[in-house]
Amino acid sequence: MPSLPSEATRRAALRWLAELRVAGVSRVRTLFASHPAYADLTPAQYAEGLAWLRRTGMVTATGRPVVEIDDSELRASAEAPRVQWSRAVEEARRAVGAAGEQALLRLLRRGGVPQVRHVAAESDAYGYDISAGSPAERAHLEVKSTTNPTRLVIHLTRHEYEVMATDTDWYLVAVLVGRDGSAVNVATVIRSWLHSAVPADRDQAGRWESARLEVPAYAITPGLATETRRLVADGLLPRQPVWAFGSSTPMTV
Amino acid sequence: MSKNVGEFGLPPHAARNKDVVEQRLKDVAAGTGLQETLTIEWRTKPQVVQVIDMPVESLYYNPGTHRIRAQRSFDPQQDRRLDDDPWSDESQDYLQYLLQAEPSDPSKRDKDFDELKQSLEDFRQNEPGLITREGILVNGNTRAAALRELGVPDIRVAVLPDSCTWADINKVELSLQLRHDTRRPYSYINRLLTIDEQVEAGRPLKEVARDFRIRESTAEQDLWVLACLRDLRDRSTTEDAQLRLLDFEDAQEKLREVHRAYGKEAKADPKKAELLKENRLAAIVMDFSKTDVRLIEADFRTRYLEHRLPEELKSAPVETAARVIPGINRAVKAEAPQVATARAFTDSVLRAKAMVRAGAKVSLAQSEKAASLFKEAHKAVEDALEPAGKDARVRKRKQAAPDRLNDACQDIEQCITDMVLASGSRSLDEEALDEAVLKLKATLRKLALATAQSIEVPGEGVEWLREAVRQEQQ
Repeated sequence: MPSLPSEATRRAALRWLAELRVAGVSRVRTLFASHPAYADLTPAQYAEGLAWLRRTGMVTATGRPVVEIDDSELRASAEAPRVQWSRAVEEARRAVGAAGEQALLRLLRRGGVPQVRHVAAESDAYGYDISAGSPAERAHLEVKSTTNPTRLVIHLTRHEYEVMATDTDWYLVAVLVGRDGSAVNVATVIRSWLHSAVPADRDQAGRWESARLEVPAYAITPGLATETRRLVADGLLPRQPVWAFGSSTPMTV
Repeated sequence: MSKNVGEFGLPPHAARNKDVVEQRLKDVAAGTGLQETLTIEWRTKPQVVQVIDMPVESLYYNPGTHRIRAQRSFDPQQDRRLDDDPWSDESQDYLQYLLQAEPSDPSKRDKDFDELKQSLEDFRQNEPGLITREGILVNGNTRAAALRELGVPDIRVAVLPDSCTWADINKVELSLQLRHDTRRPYSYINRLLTIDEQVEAGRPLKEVARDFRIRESTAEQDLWVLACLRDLRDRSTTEDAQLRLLDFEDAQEKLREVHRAYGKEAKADPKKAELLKENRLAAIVMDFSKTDVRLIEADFRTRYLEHRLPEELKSAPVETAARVIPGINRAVKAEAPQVATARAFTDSVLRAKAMVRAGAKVSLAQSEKAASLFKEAHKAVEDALEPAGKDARVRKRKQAAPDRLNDACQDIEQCITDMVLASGSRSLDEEALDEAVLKLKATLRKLALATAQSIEVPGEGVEWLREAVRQEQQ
C-alpha cells in the first residue's frame, strides 16, 4: 500500500498535470502557494509532485504535461471514488479507450508481431480487444487505457474476467495515453493478482458485473510481457516509471 | 479570425485570482490597521480603491496595454499569437520581453527599465499598481516585469471594482499613464538645500537619500557641491557685493564632474586635487562650457594660464602663515603656494563677477573695473584652454574653425550690447574701441588671406570676405 506522504505527492502531481494545461510552472506554483483551495498540501509536497512528474517524463522540460488528465480523476482522487456518469465523461473515456487500442495496435505492428487483429472492432463478445501472434503463440490482449500516470485504475467486466479464467492466452495490458494519442507507457497486469483481487459473489441471487480495481505497483510488469514470454521487445515499447507510487521495485507474487 | 480591438476574454486563472483577490480584500477590510488606498478616475468620477499584496507570478500582463502597442509588431508571429491567445505563457513572455525592451528598438534592452529595476531593488515599490479582480495588470505592467526579474514575490496593487470591463480598463490606464505630470521638479540648488537641511536636522544621510530616491553616494556628492558653492559665495564677498547660490543654478553637471575628478585625484595627490578643484571652479565661475571645464587639469595654470594672465591678475601669492589650531597650539602646514595662487585667482574672478552682478549697489567705476578684469581673466583662460584642449580639439579640428568664428560673432554681439550700455552712461572709451576695431580689421584681412590659401571654391561668405578685403586694398 502506498504510504501517506506519497499519497500527498500523488495528489500534488495530479493537480500539476491539471493546472499545467493552461499555465506555466511558475504561475501554477504561485497559484498553489496563494490560493486557499490548494492550501491542503504544502509547497514542499507540490514541489515533490512536480519533481516526480519531471522524473517520470510526464512533464516536458518546457513545463507542458505529456498526458491530458481529465477532471473526473481529479475530483475522485481525494474522497472515495463515486460513480458519476455523464455523456461528456463517457465520451471522453471512450475516446481514451479507442486511442489506447490504436496506439497498441501500432506498436504491435511496428514490433513485427504477425497476424495482429483488432477484434474489438468486430464484437465485444471476445472478451479481449486485440488478437496477435501466430496460431502457435497466440496472445489475446485486453487493453485498458488511462491518462492518469499517478495510479492505475481499471474497470474489469465480469465477461472479461470469465474469459481470463479459461483463456491462458489472455493478457491485461495497461496503456497510458498521451496528449497526442500515442502510448506513453505500456505495462502488463499480473494475472494472479487479478484473480486475487476480483470480488467473490456472496449469494446466488446477486453477482458482480463490473469491478473497479486499483492496481498496486507490485502487480504491474513493465512492458508487454508475461511470466513466460515477451510479445514485443522492451526496446520498442515506451516505458516510464509511472504507476509505481509507494514502492520503487515491483515485487513478485 | 480577428477579435475586436481591446477584447481579450479572460485569462485561465481568472476565477482563481478572483478568489485570492477577494479574500485578501476581505482580510484588509477586517484588519484594524491603516488601510492603503489609491484614487483613480473611474467612469468620470474619482474613486478610492483598496490596495493589497498579490503574488507577482499570479498576475497577467495586459495584452492591450498602450505602453507597448507600437512595439508589438516587433515579431509578427508572436504578435499574431498575442491576438489569438494573449494569456498563454508564450504570449505573456513576449509581453514581458517587450516591457523590458527599448521602445525604439525592441531588440535592445531599455536602460530606463534597468534604472527602474535598480530603483525597485534599492527603495522597494513606491506607488501601488492596479489590477482587475481577475488579476490583469492595468497599471504597473513594467514594474511587475521588473519585480519578476528581481525575484520579488509580491507586488502591491490596488483592485478595480468588480464591474470592470475592457473599456474601463483602457480608460483607467489612459487616465493614469497619459496624465501629464504638471509637478515642477525642484531646482538643483533647492534640492541641495533641502538635502542639507534634512541632514542638519539630524537625519541619517542614508534615510535622506532614500527619500530623494538617490544613492547615498549621490547625496554625499550633493553635500560636497553645496559646501563648495557656499565657500565660493563667501569668497566672492567684496564690500556690498556677493554672489548668490542661485548664480550657480546652471552649473549642476559641471560641479558634479568637478567632484568626481576631485575625488579621483585626491586619492593620489591631495594637493593636485585641490589645484584641479580651484582651477575648475574658476572656469565654472566664468561660465565656461562643460567641455571646456573638462580640459582643465591640475597643471592647467602652470602650463597654459600663467604666461597669458595680465599682470593685475598675477597677484603674487600671499604667503599664508601656518595656522595654529586654537587650544592645542599645534601648527598646521600652510596651504601649498600653488594652491594659494590658484585660490587667489578664483577669488579675484569671483569678486569681479559679484561686482558685475551687483548692478546698482556698487559705483559705476568699480563695476566697470570689475567687468574689464573679468573679461581679461576670461580671455586669458580661454586662450589657455586652446593649447590645453589641443588633443581633444584635434579630433574636432574639422569643426573648430567655423566654431571659433561663431564664438567670435557671439562675442561681437556681446560687444554691441556692452557698447550700447556704456554709451548710455557716456562712459565708452571710444579710442580703445577704435583700436579694437582696427585689430578686427587686421584679423579679418588675415582670415581672408588664410581662406585664399585653403579654400579653392569659395562659397558666398568667403567670397564676400575676399571681395571686401580686395576693395579695401585698392
